[in-house]
Amino acid sequence: MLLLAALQSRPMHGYAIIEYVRQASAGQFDYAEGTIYPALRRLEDDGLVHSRWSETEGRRRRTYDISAKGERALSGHRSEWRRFTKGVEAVLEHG
Amino acid sequence: MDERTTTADPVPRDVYLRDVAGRLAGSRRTRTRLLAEIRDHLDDAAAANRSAGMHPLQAEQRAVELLGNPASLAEGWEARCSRLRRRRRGRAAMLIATSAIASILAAAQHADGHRDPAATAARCRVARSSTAADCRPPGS
Repeated sequence: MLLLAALQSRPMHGYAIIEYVRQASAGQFDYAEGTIYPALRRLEDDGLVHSRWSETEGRRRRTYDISAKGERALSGHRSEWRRFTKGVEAVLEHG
Repeated sequence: MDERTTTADPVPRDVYLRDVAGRLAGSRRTRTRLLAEIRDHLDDAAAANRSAGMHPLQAEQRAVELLGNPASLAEGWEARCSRLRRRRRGRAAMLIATSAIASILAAAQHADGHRDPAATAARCRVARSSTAADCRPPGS
């Protein structure tokens, strides 16, 4: 979900996605950065993202972009996540 | 001159890439693409670390550390490949099943087409007073 949300802002290569998530989350997520590549490939297998080689700052990079199917999936994940956090917050407030 | 060239120590980026390459499953094409992406990633991360004031070798080592254990990366890759293989096997099984059903239906229609329509109609008239079983398509 985080990868799709990052790619919704603009097409990016792997390292830029990691930087985006790090900055947007104020460094909340601690994970091995290499795991992003198999994850991106799974999203691509599912048709949720597209990728292509592109020239960025004079270098050839694999750039990922969210697909229409990915946009729909992200919208569903967002709604589900908001329902979940709302429920958790309601319980915490109640206690 | 690059400070790395003055030392006999292996370059962390290249050591890491060789380690990952030795663990990856899948086709040569997809592995090559993954390794190119990881190489780009390490170059970007090392450049960012150097810009932040790190020594070039430290900058590369830090980039490698953040990428994580090569075994974990290879496991994630293998999980993705297994998922893809299962999906392909599922599709192949579905295709075989669909072809088999289509063949059976085609054979049944072919056999039905060889019957005399008048004789079939006569049998159906008789069947109304007895049983409808004779009017079922052949092979059912």
